[in-house]
Amino acid sequence: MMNDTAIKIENLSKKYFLNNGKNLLISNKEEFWALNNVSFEVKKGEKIVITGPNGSGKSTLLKILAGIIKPSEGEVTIYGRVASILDIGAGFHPELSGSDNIYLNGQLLGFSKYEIKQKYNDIVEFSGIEKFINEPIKHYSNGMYLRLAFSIIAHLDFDIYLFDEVINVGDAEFREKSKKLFDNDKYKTVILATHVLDEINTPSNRVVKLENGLLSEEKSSNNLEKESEIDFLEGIIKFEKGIIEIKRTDFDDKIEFIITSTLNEPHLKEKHLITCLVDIRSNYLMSHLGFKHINEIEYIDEFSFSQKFILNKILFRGGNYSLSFIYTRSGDPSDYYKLSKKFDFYFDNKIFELNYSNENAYGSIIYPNTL
Amino acid sequence: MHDQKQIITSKPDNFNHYLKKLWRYKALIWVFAQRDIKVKYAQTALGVAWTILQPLTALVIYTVFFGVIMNWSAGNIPFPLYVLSGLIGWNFFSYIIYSGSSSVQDASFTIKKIYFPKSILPLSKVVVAFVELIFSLFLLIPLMIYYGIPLSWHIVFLPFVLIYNTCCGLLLVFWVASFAYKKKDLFHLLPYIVNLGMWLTPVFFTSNFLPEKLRIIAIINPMANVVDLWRWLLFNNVDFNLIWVLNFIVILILSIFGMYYYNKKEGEFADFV
Repeated sequence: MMNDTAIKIENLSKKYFLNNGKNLLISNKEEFWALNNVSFEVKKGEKIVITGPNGSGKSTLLKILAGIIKPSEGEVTIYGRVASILDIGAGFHPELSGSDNIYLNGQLLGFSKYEIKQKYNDIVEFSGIEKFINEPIKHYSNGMYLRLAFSIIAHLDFDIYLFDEVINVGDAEFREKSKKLFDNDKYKTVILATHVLDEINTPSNRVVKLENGLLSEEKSSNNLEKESEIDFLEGIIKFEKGIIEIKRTDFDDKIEFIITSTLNEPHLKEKHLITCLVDIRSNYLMSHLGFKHINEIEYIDEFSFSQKFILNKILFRGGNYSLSFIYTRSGDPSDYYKLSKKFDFYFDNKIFELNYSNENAYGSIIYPNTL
Repeated sequence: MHDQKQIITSKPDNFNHYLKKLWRYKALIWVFAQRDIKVKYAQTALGVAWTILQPLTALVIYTVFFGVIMNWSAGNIPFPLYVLSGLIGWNFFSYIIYSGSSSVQDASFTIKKIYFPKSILPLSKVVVAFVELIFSLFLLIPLMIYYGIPLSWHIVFLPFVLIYNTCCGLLLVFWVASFAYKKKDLFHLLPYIVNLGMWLTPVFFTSNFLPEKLRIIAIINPMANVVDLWRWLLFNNVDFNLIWVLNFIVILILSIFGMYYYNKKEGEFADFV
């Protein structure tokens, strides 16, 4: 029988000691559990996202899976070869050229010079830094480091890939390219740790959430999409037109998205939502959603949106959001009337994904400079 | 797809398994060594010449100070040659100690991000030390020709002497690293041990120069034996000493124990460096 398990994690714990002030001889140490009795299983070919706030144990878990640190308790069984990118420039030497570093890194990962040579051209081409390949990599930017590191492991034959959130230094084009590479390979297992859910380029089969070292949630993201899409649309339909300003009030990664207050305009209720934009990136504290109604198309110009469509999906990230609403009464741009209603968006352990294939979708980020 | 199975627990690898892993990663020893050598001479004008310059200056200083000013001699071997043959073994040893003991710390960034057996680090330093040793032969050979001293047939035992010499260095590196990765005091002590050691090892004086009371040190001190052994190897100036073999066996066993202990501790290195 073919074994379809890639990683089996059983009661995994990692304990550290914190120095609670100390005098010369006796140090007062406090136990700290970075991981606490975590168990789950990953199937071959699964793409998994591990999420949770900073300090929730994501990186610790990845480090244990990569063999870098030992757990304090519990057991992990891994079937297959593991590759990881946990930091920019790990396993590279700054004084050596990009080309030398491909060999150095490849050998660090347990491949022979010959095997690396076979893939050398693919690696360089994919990384898109042919021009700089003979430069010492201390002159590289973070993005270039990452491209190179990513190219190397993507082209060498691994079964399991571990990525820490550092992966998001790549630009959109490169991320898209990498995404394709993994999507097309159903045998490769991918685990990505991130505290920002919309960083996910690889469509994940599952989301595992960690909080204070405890496994708090394990859900199939396919199911999540469905149930949440309905809730979200029901809430949003009442806004109809205008801009929804989504502002993160903290950087906590609670994922709740239930609109608790709605605009009291019943006549708009029957119409449906057309526009929606989003480019909520991890780095932005504030993002906006634009809405327009199909029957009032003449108002489009009032919203001088720059159009910005990201793929064909909108993916909301967790956070506590407050919401304000801008509403135009007439065609006069000065007549913007700010409802500045504050709504709290609670993202409660849900990921919101909204498909918009509608051509009339619009949107923008209005105050990118103030962010 | 390879179905390589790997189990990670809190326990260290068993030693047998560890040695297998070390074998699998053996190419890394050379990779790290190569990297060290490349990096060492990158952006230097003299490049590899520095490797010869370093023993050359030591040779000149010791020869002038002890050979000329103090007027010491070394029996039937010209004094510069005597010093150089001592320095070869001693430099090999001290290089392994200095770079080996700091190797884990120096590679801390890599250790925290990529897994490999940590013994690779000091072992790669042995390779670098060996390369430097070969360079110092560029001094030794012309000097031997100059003084007309023939090379002894004992040179065929070179591999044995190298292993002996390596074990002396690694022994200290493994034990110190295994004890000092949490509290680094021992690392600070190491230079003192090495400095003191040089005065207890007949690098630039002959063994019989030591007072009777200290003679025992020359017997116990493995480096004293190694340095004598180097001279036996090159010049056949002394009789073969059975103590060398006994001392070697003890050192070898202690080094293997050191590596065993190092393996037990290395799982924690990434948590502390």
